[in-house]
Amino acid sequence: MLAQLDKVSKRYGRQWALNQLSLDITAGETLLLTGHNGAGKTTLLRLLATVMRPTHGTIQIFGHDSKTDYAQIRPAIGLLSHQNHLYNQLNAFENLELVAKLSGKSTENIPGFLEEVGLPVKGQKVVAQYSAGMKRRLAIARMLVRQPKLILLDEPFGQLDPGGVEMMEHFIQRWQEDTTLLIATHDIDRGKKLCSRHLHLEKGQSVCP
Amino acid sequence: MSLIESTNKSPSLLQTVWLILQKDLRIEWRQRARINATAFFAILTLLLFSFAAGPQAALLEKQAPGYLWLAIFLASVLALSESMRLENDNEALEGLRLLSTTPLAIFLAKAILNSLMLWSLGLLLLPLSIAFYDAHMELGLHQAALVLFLGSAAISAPGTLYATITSKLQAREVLLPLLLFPVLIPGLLASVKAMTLIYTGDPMQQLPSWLALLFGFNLIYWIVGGLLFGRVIEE
Repeated sequence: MLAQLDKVSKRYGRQWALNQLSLDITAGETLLLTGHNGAGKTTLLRLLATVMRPTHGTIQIFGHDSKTDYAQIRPAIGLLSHQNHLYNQLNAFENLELVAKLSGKSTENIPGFLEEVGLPVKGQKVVAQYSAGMKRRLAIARMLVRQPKLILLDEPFGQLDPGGVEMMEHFIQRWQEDTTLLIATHDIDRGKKLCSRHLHLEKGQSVCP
Repeated sequence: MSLIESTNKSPSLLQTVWLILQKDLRIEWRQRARINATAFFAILTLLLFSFAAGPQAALLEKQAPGYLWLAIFLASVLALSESMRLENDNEALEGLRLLSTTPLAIFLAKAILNSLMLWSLGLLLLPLSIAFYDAHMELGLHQAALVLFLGSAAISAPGTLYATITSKLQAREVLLPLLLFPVLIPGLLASVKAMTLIYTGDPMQQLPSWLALLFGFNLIYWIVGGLLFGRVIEE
């Protein structure tokens, strides 16, 4: 088992975003996560990424407790969120170089990754001058640099043009070969085509899709 | 047994601090807004003190070290509150955390950068305060630079911690000085006393005691800051 959630709840103020959710995630599977806005999809992904702690319940990832052993878990987790985690005043290469060096990865492949996501290799434009779609592509390249074992994608097709959506699908299929994926999306048809299992959330609980 | 296979060689603490510091220096140089705003604010504050005291040359000369430190102290609020802003854009700090960068490394890099900025500001204000207030320096420039360095570091360590705590709050500009100033008072007093000795002379050899006190404050501030920073950024 790659990850196990046991009666996990998360509260923001008086609002319960997740309520007693239990879930097993097997290594190598691709899990589709659907639900209305506020159903708890993003919260679930952020809890699995260990950037947030559950109010109640436990989460085991790679055999480690997410509350205490997050330092061991994080290098193996990739989160593609709405925020992209990019520095606006650095260019694409500098952003990826920082990620590679801090993760102990080689910087040699960065030009290749930039080419793969369709961004200029020698572009001096800083990220602040990028469109939302270009930032999304750079965030995907960030994932390619890190090569995580568990990839969490929050609305991966959002902000992308049709070419970008096609590219995203291509990367998801490539990652499926050796990575576990959780994809939260409102694009249910596209998600079903790509995923092996479907989890639908309603008011922070899992219901039959 | 852990299911995570790790074949990467993670950078050491010092290498991580250097990588983050290098990134921050590059960003600061590119935008320069924080540097310019802080410098102009501090120079303006120095000028305002001279207007407030009126044409009393003796009083201005006597108070010059205090005014110099107050200008650095007030300008530090601007510099510190801006220092965490670049980490909040696009949730970049969350990205750093996901790379398993230790909170201590992030704290050290941010606090060192803030210390360097405030120290440079102090070095810029020192000749200006001498010119504006018609003051004289009895001791050497290297001693003044040392006092400015220790005083800047004493502001930066707790300043970085509190700037991080308040960085996501709406009223951060108000809250940061409210939280920070009481903590900084001992460091400020020691800095002003040490700088006064540099301006007026030190016949009783009191400067080493004030420097030791400043060093002690720094030791406490930096250790406490390093220990608490993880709690601040982890939810």
